[in-house]
Amino acid sequence: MPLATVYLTIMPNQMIATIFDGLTRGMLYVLLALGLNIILGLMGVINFAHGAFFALGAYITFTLSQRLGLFPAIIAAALCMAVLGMIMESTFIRRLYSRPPEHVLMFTFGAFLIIVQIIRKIWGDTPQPLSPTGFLAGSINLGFSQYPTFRLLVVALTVLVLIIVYLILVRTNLGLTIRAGTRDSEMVSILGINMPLTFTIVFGLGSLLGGLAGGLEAPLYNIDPNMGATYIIIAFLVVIVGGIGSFWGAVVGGLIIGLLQELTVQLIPGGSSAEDIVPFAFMLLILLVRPRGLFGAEGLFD
Amino acid sequence: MSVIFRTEGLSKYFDSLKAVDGVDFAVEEGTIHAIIGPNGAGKTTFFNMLTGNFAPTAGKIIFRDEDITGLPPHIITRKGIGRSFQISNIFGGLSVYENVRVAVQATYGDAPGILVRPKWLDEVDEKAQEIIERVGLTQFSRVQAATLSHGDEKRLEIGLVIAANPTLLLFDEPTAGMSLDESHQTMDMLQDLAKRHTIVLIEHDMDLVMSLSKQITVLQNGRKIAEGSPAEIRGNALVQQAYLGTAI
Amino acid sequence: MATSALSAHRRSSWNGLVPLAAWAIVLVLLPWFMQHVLKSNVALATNMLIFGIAALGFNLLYGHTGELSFGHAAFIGLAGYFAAYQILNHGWTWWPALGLAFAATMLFAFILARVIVPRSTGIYFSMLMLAVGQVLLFIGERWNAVTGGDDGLQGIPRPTYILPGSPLNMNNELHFYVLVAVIAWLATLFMWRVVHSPFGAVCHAIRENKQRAEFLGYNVTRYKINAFVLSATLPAIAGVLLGYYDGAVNPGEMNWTESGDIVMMTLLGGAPTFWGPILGAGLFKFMQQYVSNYTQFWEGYIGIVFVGFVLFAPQGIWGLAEAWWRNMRAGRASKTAGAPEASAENAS
Repeated sequence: MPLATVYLTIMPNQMIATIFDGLTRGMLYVLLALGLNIILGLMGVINFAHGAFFALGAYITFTLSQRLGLFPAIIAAALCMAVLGMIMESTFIRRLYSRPPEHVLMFTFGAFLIIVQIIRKIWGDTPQPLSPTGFLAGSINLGFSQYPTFRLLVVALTVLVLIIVYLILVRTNLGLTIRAGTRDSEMVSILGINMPLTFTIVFGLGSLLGGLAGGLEAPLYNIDPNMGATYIIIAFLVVIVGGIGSFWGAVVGGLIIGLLQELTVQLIPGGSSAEDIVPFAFMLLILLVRPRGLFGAEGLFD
Repeated sequence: MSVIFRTEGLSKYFDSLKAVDGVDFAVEEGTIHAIIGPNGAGKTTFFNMLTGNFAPTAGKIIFRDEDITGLPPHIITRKGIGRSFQISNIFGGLSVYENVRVAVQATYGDAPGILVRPKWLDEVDEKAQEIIERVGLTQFSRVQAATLSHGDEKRLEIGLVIAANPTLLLFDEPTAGMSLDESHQTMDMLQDLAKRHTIVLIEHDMDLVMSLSKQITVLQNGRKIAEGSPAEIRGNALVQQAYLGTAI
Repeated sequence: MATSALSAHRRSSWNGLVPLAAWAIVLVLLPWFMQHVLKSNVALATNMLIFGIAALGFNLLYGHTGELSFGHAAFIGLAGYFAAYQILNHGWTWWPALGLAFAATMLFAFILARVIVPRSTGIYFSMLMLAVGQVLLFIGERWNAVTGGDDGLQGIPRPTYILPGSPLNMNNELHFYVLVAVIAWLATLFMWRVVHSPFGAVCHAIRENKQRAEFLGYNVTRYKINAFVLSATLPAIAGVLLGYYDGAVNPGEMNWTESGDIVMMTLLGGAPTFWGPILGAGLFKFMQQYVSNYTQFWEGYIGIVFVGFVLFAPQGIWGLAEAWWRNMRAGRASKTAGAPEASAENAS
């Protein structure tokens, strides 16, 4: 990247700030994609409703922040999405496990449409701005420049959540079941683990991550009812790039795509028009080199 | 009697696991040849290589003096090897008649017949009727295949397999999960099929194996440990050891 | 017994005449029905048919062959752009524009099929098709010089000259309807032949059981590639018609949610049936217009109906009707004895 080198020598501080912006954006993708990936591993299906949960998480954060303050609102919104996800799984999606996987896909598409229209009805079509308040409004001197406190919170909170999710996956029985269930749900049920409950909890966990990503997105960019449709596609690309069912794939894939987008927008003149294409171009490149993604294991989709 | 089908040093390794290891195997035309062995002996993996599901790690598969190693399943089928699966493998949503018709159609090539109705369609119909009659499902001709009984599903599958008029038939546990009655019917059907086709079968039911087959090959841990007539196998010490004292 | 089933099959190739004739009558009566019974207009009928054509093509791949594409709107959009570009920039007329757009879209579909079909199946296939659609969407949005960017290409005039001596004037909505209806009927005839041909029988076999189809000696991948290409024919034609209908093409036509609409139309009408997609597209477009008169949140209501069908009646409206009809006949037949009828016949 010669252009980047030029920038780095002329304006090192701005370059570092851009990289930080890219990482914060990437963090949102990581959260969203990880939630999508966990549910994908479980059901073998892309959950379109995940995009709607993301948008709903952003809007609930927007409304609650006026009463609770921003940070509590983000946490509350994420928990709301977890509950909503669990209700959706246990009332509807469960009925579809015995059906062809396309039916689950179609159901989540329908749910996506319904939730987006509910958002439009409650909050309207106009994009809503939400600014960080209180101590999150300021910025912190990082040595190279002043950096917004809220963006640092996004990074810190995402890292914390990632550690927790990683520990759940690696250290707990639930995590073991998720990892085994991803490979062979029949075997897991032979082991006598309560699969229906596990499915519901996992769906809740995935939705929680989606809602959290939405809550964190809201103060960074404007929110509008169609944000879910855009973000679900990016999350889906991150999953493909990283490898289906892979924790580290979602993390690395999300960060790279966030970084690439930010670098394109800020460093290349007129780059903002290529913002949406960058993730696709990157996906095609990765698929050519590694058809199963960066960390993809054999066979989940075959 | 001549050898119609053989393998030379056929092997399949999954990483370090030698699922099938250097098996030489030969089938004489017009016989029933059984493959037996304890669970995990590599029988189904062996079959999967014969029909092209997996490419072998090493070795050759020769059918009628032609090397068919590594060909895809649809080509191997067209060369005259038919396969019946452990779990009946049919078109559940189609009627019995539609099932057999599409099987017969395969022997007439790939003409799409979209713009002009091919002349051979009537012939396909007649042959489909014959096969349905031969497997005894005429009264279920218009019934949806998924609603058939277990035994009837198996018959339908056999109908699909013989529709291609194969020289060699491979059966993977044809009596698995069948009642005693259904098992006996299947045995009769196998004997009937043996008049026209060469048959290789994997089977757990020793009575069936001993009474039907001319030759028996015994696999254990991916290797061939014995081969011979039912009487020879019955008296083979290695085989008895492999089955850990199970009466054969 | 053998002869009766044989003649049943012989008859079935003639059976098509009755439904196709009935469909022609429906097409003739539809404008009158829209105007005087539903108090709507002819233009809506045209719109219903255009999407009916697209969904009918889509369903060859989904309902008949068993692969769900979440990117078929891409073919609609692509054909629309090809035609619109030539019409607006080079003054091309109806036939050459239609021919070029069709040929170019089919070439794209052919290459795409060879790349995607051998490498993916099931949900992975759905997702790859979604990605393809999104790539085209972004190209459409950004390649301003050719595609007009977010605004798309506007001001496509309706064709004036179609056949020598034809009295049709396409600026008249009823005349344009006649053109679309004739194409819709021909498209249906074509798809009827495809679905009821030996090729169609293999597609059904692949839908039911890929492995068994392969072990009958069929090259499943090749059949799926062909089904894919054939399933793009009708959306390509629908795309050109839609460009003329709207007088414009825009990138939003290729968005994944538009592909989702085609999936919804097909499932609502009945994916495992021949006529389901047409019925579903008609109902969808009608609901869209009718419900949007009362609320701007019409997509939510359609979403609720769709989710209800996914959960409780995935065979769709036509599938429900067929099952009901079979039960009626079986009820009558069982009085005279006999086994239950097969439900698999994808005909009527």
